[in-house]
Amino acid sequence: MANLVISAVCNQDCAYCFTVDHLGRGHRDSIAEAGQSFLPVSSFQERLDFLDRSNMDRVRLLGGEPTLHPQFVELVERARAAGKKIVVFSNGLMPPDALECLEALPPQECTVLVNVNEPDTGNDGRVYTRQLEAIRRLGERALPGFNIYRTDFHPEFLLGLIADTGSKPTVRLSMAQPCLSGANQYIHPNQYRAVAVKVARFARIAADDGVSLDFDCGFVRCMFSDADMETLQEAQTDVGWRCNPILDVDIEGNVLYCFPLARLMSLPLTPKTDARALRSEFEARTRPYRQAGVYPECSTCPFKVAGACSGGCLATTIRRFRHTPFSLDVPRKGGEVV
Amino acid sequence: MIGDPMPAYRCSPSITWVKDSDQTILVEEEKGQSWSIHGVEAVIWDLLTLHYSLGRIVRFLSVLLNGSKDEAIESLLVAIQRWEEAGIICAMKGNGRG
Repeated sequence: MANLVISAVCNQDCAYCFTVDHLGRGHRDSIAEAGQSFLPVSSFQERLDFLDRSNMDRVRLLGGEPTLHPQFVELVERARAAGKKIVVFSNGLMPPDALECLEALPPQECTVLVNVNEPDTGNDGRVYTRQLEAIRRLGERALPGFNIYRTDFHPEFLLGLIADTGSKPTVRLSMAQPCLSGANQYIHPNQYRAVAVKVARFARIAADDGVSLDFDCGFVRCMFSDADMETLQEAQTDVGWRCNPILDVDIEGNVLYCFPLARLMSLPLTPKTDARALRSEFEARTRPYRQAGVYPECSTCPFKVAGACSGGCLATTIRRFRHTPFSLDVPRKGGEVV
Repeated sequence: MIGDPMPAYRCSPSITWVKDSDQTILVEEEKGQSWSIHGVEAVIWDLLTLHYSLGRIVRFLSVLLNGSKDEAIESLLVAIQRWEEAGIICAMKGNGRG
């Protein structure tokens, strides 16, 4: 799995967006000045070659909002010509030609993850109406996604959305994680338990409607009680307690572990690198931090020790670490401390 | 006040650390190294990062270990030696105090 960033531009300004350290407000002007708002079509073939070297049959297009790329349709056509399936991470506010292009693809070879916020969040409903229309046209190509970034969330509206639009009967659930600067809104580990109670409840309600949940990275096993776990299993939730190098390839050809860790490190995409080598390098460099987790108890937790849980998001974990320079004078043996 | 002469040390500038429930984890990202410290050593680390004076650390350790001042100093020296060997702290040039 690797994501190709093709647009640094977005037509939303979500408070929880984890690209803020790399593509956020402070960076947009410099990105635009450098003429790097969009991936040049000429560079796209290099990205496809990377996917081929890595034996990946999917092109996963990411932004910003990837469909705002002026040559989005051409990029999709090139990817299709290379025999790739298409995955798009979108907010659903697509230009007409992008939507037409995607709705023309065979459903089994195209997935558009459409991240939808609660309808009353920061707009008068026009955004949600447009998103709904895009999802309706995409039909079973659309996979609704929902980001939890505060504890008073209400995802039940997604069940009506799925029934109305004919999208996939699955909700991709993400728990907003911090970028290293902490400049975005996110769920603090102290809030995980409150989130878990609502997620388990939502899973049960969704199952009654024939809708399943699919967890994004960053969830931890201990946030759910045994009763919650039973509920999730009965609801056939695709649970996961993972945090792995996703590999986000940015417009300039830097490979990131993932967007939240953009400030930590990046590796160059060269004509010979493949995903396996990049992942190994990222895993080696971040291994020292992996002793810890999002909670002080993680390092001795049986789930983590057994490898059943990663200990949560690495960005959240690294944000626990502190740097405290100190110096000290020490007495030689026999020295006197008064 | 500490009797002279006294070697001075400083924490390596690229060390980061986190306190877990039963240990303190130190990471040197550039070298890809990490260490776990426990017990009295973790307490000493804690006090140093709180910038306690050496005299105060020794008094604190004496109470913690229910021992003499010399025993406290000995515990401190053992930790310092281990950390220096591991590269967690390094001697400062000269015989400076800071």
